[in-house]
Amino acid sequence: MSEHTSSDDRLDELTAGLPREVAPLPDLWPAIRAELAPRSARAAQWSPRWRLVAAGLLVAASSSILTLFATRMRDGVGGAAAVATADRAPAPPRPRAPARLPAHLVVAERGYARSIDALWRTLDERRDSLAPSTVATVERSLRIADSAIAEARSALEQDPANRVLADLLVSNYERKIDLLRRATELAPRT
Amino acid sequence: MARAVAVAATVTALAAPLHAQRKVHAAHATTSDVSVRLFASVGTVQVIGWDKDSVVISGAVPKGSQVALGNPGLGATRGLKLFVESPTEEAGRAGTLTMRVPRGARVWLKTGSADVAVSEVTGGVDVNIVGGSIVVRGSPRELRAESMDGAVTVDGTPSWMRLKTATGDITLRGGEDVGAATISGTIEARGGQAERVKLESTTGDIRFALGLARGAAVEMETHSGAIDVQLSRKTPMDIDAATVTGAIENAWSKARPTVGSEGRGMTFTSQTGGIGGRVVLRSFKGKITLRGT
Amino acid sequence: MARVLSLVRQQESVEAPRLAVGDEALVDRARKGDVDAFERVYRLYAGRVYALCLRLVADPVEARELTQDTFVRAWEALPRFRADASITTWLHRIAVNAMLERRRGDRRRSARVSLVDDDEDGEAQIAGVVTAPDVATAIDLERAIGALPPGVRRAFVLHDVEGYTHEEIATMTGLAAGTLRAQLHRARQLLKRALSL
Repeated sequence: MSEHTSSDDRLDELTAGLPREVAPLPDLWPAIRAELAPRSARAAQWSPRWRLVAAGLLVAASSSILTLFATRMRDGVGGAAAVATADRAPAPPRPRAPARLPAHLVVAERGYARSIDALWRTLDERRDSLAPSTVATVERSLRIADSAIAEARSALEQDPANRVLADLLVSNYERKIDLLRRATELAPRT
Repeated sequence: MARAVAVAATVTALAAPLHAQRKVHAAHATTSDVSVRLFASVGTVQVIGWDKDSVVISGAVPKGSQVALGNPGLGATRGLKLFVESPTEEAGRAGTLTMRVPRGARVWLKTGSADVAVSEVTGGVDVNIVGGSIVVRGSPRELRAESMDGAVTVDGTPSWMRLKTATGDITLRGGEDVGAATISGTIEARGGQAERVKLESTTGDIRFALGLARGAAVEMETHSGAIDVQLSRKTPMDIDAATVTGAIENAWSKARPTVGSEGRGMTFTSQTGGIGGRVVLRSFKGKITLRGT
Repeated sequence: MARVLSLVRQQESVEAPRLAVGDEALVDRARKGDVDAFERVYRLYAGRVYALCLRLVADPVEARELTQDTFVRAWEALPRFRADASITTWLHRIAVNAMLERRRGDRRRSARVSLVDDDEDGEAQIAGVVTAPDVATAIDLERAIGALPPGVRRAFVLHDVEGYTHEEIATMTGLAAGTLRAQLHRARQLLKRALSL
C-alpha cells in the first residue's frame, strides 16, 4: 500500500465536503405511496409479481388520469370544449408487453410511468391555479413529447439493439417528465 | 462586507398617479451575497446588480395587489423574501418592478407572464416564468432560467447554466458548463466559447456555432429538429453523429457519412484523438449538418 | 444527461445518526401502518438515500428508481426494524441490496455489466470525462466519482463518502476484504489522477 500523501489529504478533505443529502427530483413520495401495501397485508403477498401487476395498473391509471386531466382542463377553459375530441392529448405511450424492448428499458419505463403518474396527480390537484394559456402550452408540448416517445418506442421495438434509439427514447421520457415537473412547480400549492 | 448603516425599509403606497396603480418602494441593508427571493405577478421585472450592499425595489403595481416587501431589520440581512401578487393576471401585466441587488447576490425570481431582464449580477440567478421573456446580460456564476412559452436569451457567459423552455426559443453565447433543453423552441448558440455543452430538443432546431475550449465535451440531441453545427477545421476533434432516419450532411471535412445498416439513418464519425474535444450528435429524424470555419 | 440537482449540505456528522426521540415514535407509528408517519420518515431520509443511490449508480434515473424501491422495501421490512439500530444504515443497506439485485439481474441479461473487473473501462471513462481542472472542486469530485468503474465506485462511496467500515461493507456487499482494499486503493488512485491531486 502506498503511504498517505498530501494529495490523499486533499482528496479526504474534498470527500468530507461532499453534500450528505441530494434532494430527489421530482418528489418520489407520490409514487412510493402508490406502492405501499396495507400494513395488515403480509409482506409476502406483495411479491414482485404483484408489484408488476400493480405497476401495470398504475400505468393504466396514469393514462386515465391524463385523459381525465386533459378533459377537465379543457372543460375549465370554456369554449375550447367543443374541439375536445379532435384536440385531445393522445394517451401517453404506455409500456406494453415488454417482449420486444430491451430489459433495462422495460424497467426504466416502469419507473417513468410511476413518475409521470405521480406528477399528473399533483398537477391535477393544482390545475385550477394554472392560467388557461399555460394549460394550453403544457398540453401542446405534452402532445409533442408523447408523439416523439411513441415514434421512438415503435422504432425501438423493430430494432431493440439500437443504442442510439434507446438513448433517444430515454431522453424523450426525461424531457416529458421535466416538463410535467415544471408545470407542477408553476402551479402553487393550494 | 455588509454595510454598517442599516437602510430602512419602507413600503410606500402613494396616491395613484398612474391609472389604477400604486407605487411601491422598499430598501434593505444586506450582505454582499444576500439571497433574494421575489415572487411577482407583474408584467415587467428588471433586476440590476450594483456595487452596494443593499437591495432596493421600486415600481408600480396594480391597485389591490398584495405586497410584502420585507420588514426593516436592525442590521444587514442575508436573506429576503419579497412578494407582489396582482389582483388579476390581466391587471398584473401593467405592473413593473425594478430591483437593485448587490452584484454577488443570489436572486430567485418567479413570475407569471412577465418580461424579465437581469443584468450585472455575478452571483446566482434563478428565474422561472410562464410567458414573456427572459434576458440575462452579464455572467452570473450560476444561472438557471426556465420558461414555458417565453424566449430565453443569455448575453454573457455564465460558468454554469441550465436553460429550459417548452415552446420558447433559447439563445446563448457559451459558458463553461452549458445545458439547454426545449420541446419545440429553437436553440441558438453562437458568439462565444464553451467547455461542456448539452443541447436538446424534441422538435425544435438546434444551431451551434460556439468555439470550443481544449478538451471540450459537446452533446446535441433532437427527435425531429434540425441540428446545424459549425466547427473550426483547425482544431482536431472527435465527432460522433448518428440518426435513426434523418440525413447527415458533412461540410466540415471531406469524409462522407455512411448510411445505416438497414438503409435507414446515417452515421458519421471522425476520430482525431480528441485533443480539441468531442462532439456527439444524435437525431431521430432531423437532419444533421456539419459545417467548417 | 447530467441532471440538475439541488444539493442540500447537511450539518450533521458523517456518523450515521440513530433515531432521535421523536423519530422513534415516528418509526413505531409507521411500523403499525401509519402511512403519514412513513411519509415523514421518507421526508427525513430521502435526501441521504438518494445521495447514496446517485453516487452508487451515477445515473439520476436509476437512482430515483432505487430510492423508490428502497422506501417501498423499507415499508415492507419495517416490522423487522430494531429500534436500537441506525435508521440510516438500515435504509442504506436496503438501497445497496436493491442495487446489487438489480446488477445481478442486469448481469444475467447482459454480459456488458461487470461488477469487479471493470478497471480498464473506468480508466478510459475517467480520462475522457474529467479534464484535469486547476482547482479541484466538489463538483469535479462528484463527476470523477461518477466516472469510476461501478465496483470501485461502490467501494469508495460506501467507505470514504458514507464512512462505513470494511466489515460493514463486507456484510452489505459480500465483498472479500482483499478485493475491497484493492478497489479502494484503485478508486483513490483514479480520483487523484482525475482531479490532478
